Amino acid sequence: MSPLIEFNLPASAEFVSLIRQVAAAASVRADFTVDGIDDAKLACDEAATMVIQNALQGSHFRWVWNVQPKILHVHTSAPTAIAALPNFAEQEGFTWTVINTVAHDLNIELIDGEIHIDFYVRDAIS
Amino acid sequence: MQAGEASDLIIELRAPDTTPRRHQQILESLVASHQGLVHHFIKVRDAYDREDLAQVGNIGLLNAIDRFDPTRKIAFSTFAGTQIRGEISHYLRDKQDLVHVPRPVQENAKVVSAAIEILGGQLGHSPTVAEINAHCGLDTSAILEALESASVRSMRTLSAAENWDLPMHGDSDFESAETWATLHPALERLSTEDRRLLGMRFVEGLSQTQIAQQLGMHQVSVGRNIDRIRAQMRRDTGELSPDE
Repeated sequence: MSPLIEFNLPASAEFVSLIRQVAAAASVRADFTVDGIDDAKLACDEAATMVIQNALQGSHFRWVWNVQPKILHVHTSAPTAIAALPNFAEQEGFTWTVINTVAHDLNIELIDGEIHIDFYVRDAIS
Repeated sequence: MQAGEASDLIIELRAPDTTPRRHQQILESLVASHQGLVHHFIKVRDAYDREDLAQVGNIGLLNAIDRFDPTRKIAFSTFAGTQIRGEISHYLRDKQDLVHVPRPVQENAKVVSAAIEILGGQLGHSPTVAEINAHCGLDTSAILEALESASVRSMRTLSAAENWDLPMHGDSDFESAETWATLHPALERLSTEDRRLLGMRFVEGLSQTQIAQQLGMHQVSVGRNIDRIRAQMRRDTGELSPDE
């Protein structure tokens, strides 16, 4: 079975619940505990919020979950009109704090007109 | 309006020697000069009456004028934006129909919740879905649905904390959360118990199970309350809410 789960969907708030569900399903496949599943859902929720707030209106975002035992590698991206990355730590106070608590190796980049967010979620007892 | 000018006007507005006439002039000037900001936040809400939303946005603007702290290193327009967006989000949320959780899912949620409690005690950590499945026989999708329903129910009780009785302990845990300067107004609106829980989860980085053990609460209750507080924080800071 491929460790990758990928899909594209509109970069819009009404689809965030779907992302939470996929995050949960991917976490189950990675044999996460309930705490770990909650971390994965929180991290994807917050990453989705950050991307949607900076995505071009009407655009789609791409999600990739790479599932490994007790580890999820998550990548999301979407087209954006912003010329430079916002200072998330300053402007997205709560979102930033949450995602930094539950995700590891968080990396946010602006590449060729797209905002990219990449991080790992590790199960609490891994 | 130039950066810093709004701050100066708010300081003048609050000065004890400002006459009522000048007070009114300043207020009108601040409101008029920030109409672009109000309309920025309502322009994407095509499904709603823009006039209603403009009124709601202006309530947020007036709240911002009232609550803005000129000593903080943050532009008034940034602060006003969060207040306007928060007020509009709150208004839209109140207009939305509440999500109904079907009875079978509610029943499964009780079973899963009990399983997490029992297995957590036996294993010393929160169980995996496979372990819950082995314990109660529910399949993976039913277990995930039950776990998610806790979040849905937390949205339904957004403004009313349910079964919420946190034991109090030292204040030091939460001190570092006070560094979230831009969130300060939203944090102040949380109850002491909610702030403590938020601090334990996102400042100390404790898991739901660790918090539950420290506070003598049920793990599912911790998760439900975290979701409720996150929703409230997002509403109050004007950040995008996933259920909008």
